[in-house]
Amino acid sequence: MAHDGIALDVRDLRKAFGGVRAVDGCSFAVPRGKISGLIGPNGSGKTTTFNLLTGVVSPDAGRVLYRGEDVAGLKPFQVFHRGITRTFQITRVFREMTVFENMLSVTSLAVPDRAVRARAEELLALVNLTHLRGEYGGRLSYGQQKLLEFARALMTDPDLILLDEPAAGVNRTLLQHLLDHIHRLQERGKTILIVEHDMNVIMNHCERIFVMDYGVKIAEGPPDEIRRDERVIDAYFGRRRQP
Amino acid sequence: MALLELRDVSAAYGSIQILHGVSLHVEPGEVVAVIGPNGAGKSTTFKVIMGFITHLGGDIVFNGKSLVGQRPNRVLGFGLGYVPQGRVVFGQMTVRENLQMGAYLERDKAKIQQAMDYVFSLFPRLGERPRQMAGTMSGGEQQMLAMGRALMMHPRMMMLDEPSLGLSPRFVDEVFDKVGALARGGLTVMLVEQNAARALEISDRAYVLELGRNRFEGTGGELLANPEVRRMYLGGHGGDR
Repeated sequence: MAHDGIALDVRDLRKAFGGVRAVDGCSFAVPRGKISGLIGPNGSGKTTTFNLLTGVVSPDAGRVLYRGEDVAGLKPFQVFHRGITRTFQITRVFREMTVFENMLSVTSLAVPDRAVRARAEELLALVNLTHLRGEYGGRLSYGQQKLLEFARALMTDPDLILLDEPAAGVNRTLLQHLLDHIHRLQERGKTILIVEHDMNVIMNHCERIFVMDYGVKIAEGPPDEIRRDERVIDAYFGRRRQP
Repeated sequence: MALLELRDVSAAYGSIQILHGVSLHVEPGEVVAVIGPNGAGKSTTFKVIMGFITHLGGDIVFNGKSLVGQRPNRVLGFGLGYVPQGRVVFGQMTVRENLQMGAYLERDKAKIQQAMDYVFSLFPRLGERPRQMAGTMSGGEQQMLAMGRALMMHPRMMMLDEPSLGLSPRFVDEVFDKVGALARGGLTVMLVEQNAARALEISDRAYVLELGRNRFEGTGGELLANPEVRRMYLGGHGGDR
């Protein structure tokens, strides 16, 4: 069933690793054209969910509806070609390619044309990496690698952008820059879903927040509601011993 | 006199500074918890005490000796046991071999056997299967083994990093029971925990860190009753981010 306001409709997603049910029947609908956040304590299943949404891991059950198609179980490149892109918590830049080559690596052209190269330059300028365009990816700092990955993710002009911990290890000035750009993408109609531990990033920049704990969604709403939700606070703070 | 004292300690991973002047002390026989949201610097505090990461400034004194600039094996030799996060056991070694590794600084075989008997009395499940490969044990059992291994050197104080992380609720209860039992036996304990409520319940005192700085301190009961401590887990220390 198509739904105009929904960019990605996640239904009853499940994935177990050995005996651990990392994602245990998780459902949520990512609103189109907005910045949303996916949060939860360590081990709650956020990154596994991201991996399921982007084909990095195949689900045991459940559906991921994108533009009327179930993309659950597709390969990562197939998901990518449908307009969904992501960054990783542990960055995955090509260490033995230059920064500029990293940017071009995601395009399907053997010889990138002028427009593609111009776009790469523009995006590098955006994340303040122009001066490092000839440097090897492996020589960048962790924060710089994250910025490169972010810029590279935008090369194909995706519709849905999943960001896994964009703030971790990035200094405040660059983070502010990155957040400004995320807002500009949203203004241009893109949909953004962020997994992030920095609560200030989540609370100040997301319109809607999904909260996971033990592999399921336990709450959903705007930041002000989530901040006051006792179930969410309990998930983070822990619960006292049950008698 | 405090058994362990940190005064204004700063520390970094490579070029990224995580601790910006943390102070705390642990008295003999106490159970002290260190809690705080992700990125607070809890595990980092343990790592700088053990000498795993770059110490930038401040004093770290254990049992009258400065730990600044000491390597982890020296720190261990001073009587400070450490159980790292994530149940780090030697998966391809047996229970007995894992425990022997914990005593690698000890030469006296009789003392090693004595320590092992003590660990087996504390964790009967380990004693029932000394020849089992550690990698085939459940998460809770591996956590017990990691704790047992840290006890092999008869430490005066033990630091536990996230002992309940990733464990099923039943094992969480068991791990906290064991920590309580060790404390009643006279061992000084400091633990980092994401499950703040459970940690505060068993602690005499606790420190709440945020972004590498001290934020609150008090008895376990005081902090459990403080709504501000609960709220800070969902952000709200202002900031423009």
